[in-house]
Amino acid sequence: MIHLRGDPLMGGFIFSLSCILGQIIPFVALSFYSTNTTVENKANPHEINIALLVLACCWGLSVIAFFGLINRKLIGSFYSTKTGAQSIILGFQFSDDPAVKTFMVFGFHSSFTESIKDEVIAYMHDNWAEWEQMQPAWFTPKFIASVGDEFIPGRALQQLNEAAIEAGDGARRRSSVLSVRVIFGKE
Amino acid sequence: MVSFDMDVSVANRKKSPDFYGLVKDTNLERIITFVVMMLLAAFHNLSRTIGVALLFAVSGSTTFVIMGAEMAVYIGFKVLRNDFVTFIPGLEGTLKYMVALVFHTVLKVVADYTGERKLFATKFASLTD
Repeated sequence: MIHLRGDPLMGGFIFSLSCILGQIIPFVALSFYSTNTTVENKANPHEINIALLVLACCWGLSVIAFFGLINRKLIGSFYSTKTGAQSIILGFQFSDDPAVKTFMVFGFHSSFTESIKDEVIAYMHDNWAEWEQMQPAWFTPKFIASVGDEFIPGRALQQLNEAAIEAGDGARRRSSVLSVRVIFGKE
Repeated sequence: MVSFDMDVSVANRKKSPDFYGLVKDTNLERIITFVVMMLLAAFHNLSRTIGVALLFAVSGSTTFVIMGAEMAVYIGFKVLRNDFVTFIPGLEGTLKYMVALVFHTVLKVVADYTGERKLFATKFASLTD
């Protein structure tokens, strides 16, 4: 469950808030339950209250033990207020590994990196020829198909289009763009 | 268990050091952390489940109002922060908002009530490919 705190998922702050809320809601529910007169065969609210208190205390002790056991430098990820886009952009800008950098851009929704699109285009244009020559493990046809035309240098794009035409596919087509119109065959 | 396995993965730690690496490296620390993580998830899920059961005992509509309000606050928070669209690449137009709504709803329910991580493991695992 703790991995749902990732910024592209729930985000650390709201994840932690949800966990705390998870301990408050049972007591709110108990107050509704104990004041409601329509419930049949009602259990003793006092006993339920004790059970909930014990559970909340055990949960609190587990939280203290967990934070005492883990690496302190990552505790910030539990109250991070970064959005998914901010997190992905930082991942792109601070990584030196092309596999990670390209994954940050093309492994996530394009809107995440829209604000640094020019920076990404420059990076891709600067390095595309080298990747074509070196053929790193991540530079696969699947990856290339996920890259938008604007991120590929003109000469390389022309070659890809020509290869696609020779293969009888028409111009190169991105493999992963989906919309309602595409699903229902309007495009 | 999925969270634990992903966190101790060397490849994950290398590629996302700001996220993976919560669990320390000695065997004893790993065993204790694993047990604590299991207990944490168990207590959390039990509290949540009892809370919902009590609300359902009162009335179904009260339950849906309270749970719905919590969900609405969560989704509203995401929308206000311009963080609603999900990370899933290639979605455009109305579809990206429809998928985002379903995604966030499922994500919140999963985080709140089950502790299940598998649904999201694939995306993070692909970091290690």
